[in-house]
Amino acid sequence: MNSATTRQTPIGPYPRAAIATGLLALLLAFSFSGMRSEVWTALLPFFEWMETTWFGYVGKTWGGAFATIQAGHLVSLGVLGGAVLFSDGRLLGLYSSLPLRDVIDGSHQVFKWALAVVVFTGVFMVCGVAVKVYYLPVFWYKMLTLSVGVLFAFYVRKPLVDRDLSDVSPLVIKLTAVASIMVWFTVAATGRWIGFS
Amino acid sequence: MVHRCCDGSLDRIQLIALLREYKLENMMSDTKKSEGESRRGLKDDEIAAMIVAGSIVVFFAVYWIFEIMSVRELLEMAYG
Repeated sequence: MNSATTRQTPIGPYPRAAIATGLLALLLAFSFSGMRSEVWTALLPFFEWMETTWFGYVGKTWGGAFATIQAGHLVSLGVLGGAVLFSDGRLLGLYSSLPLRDVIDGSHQVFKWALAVVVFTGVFMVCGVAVKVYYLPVFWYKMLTLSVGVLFAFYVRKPLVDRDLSDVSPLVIKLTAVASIMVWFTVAATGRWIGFS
Repeated sequence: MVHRCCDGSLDRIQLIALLREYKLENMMSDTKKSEGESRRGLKDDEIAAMIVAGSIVVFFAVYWIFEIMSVRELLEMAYG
C-alpha cells in the first residue's frame, strides 16, 4: 500500500471532517446546556457599552444616518443573496450554458465583499439599538445562522467547489448548494424578523 | 588502456542509467504520493460537506415540520 494513503494527521485521516463534526457537537452541547444563558448574561455589559460608542450615539440620535446605513445593509444583503443564488443555482444545474468555474469564482468575489459590507453596517446598526436587540431571541438566531453560514461558506463549501467538480460526487455538490441557500435565506429572514420584533 | 577506457565508459553509462532510473522512480513515487494526498483531501472535503450540509438540511426540515404543525394547531383553535 502507498505510504501516502496511510499517512494520518493527529486527528485522523480526514481532519476537515473531524473538525466540522467536533464543531457541530460543540454547538449542540452549547445550545442544550446552561452555558448558553451564562454567556448571554455575561454579554450584557458589552451590549450596554456598544450603545455608548460613537456608532451608538450616531445611530440613536441621527435617524437619517441610521436609515442610510440600513439601506446599505439591505442592499448588500441583497447582493450577497444574489451571489449565493447565482453560484448555488449553477451548482444545482441551472443556467448550464454559463461556464461553471467563472460563475463560482466570480460569485465568491462578490459574496466576500457583500459579506464585509453586511457585517460592517450590521455592527453599526446594532450599536444604535444594542440593549433592545440583546433581549430579542431572533437577534441571537440571526447571529447563530450568520456564524454557521460564514463557517460553512469558507470552511466547507469553498474548499469543495475549488476542486475539479467532475471529481466530486454530484449528490454532495447538490446537498451543499441546497444547505447554502437555506442558511443564507434564514440569515435574511431573521434579519427582517428583527425589524418586526 | 583501451580496455580500461571502454570499461570505464560502460560503468559510467550504467551509472547514468541507474541514476535516471532512480530519478524516474522518485518522480513516480512523488506523483503517486501527491495523487494519494489529493484523493484523500477530496474525500475529506466531501465528508465534511456531507456532514455539515446534511445537518443543516435535516435541522431545517425538522424545524419547518414543527413550525407548520404549530401554525395548523393555531388555525384549528381559531377557526375550528
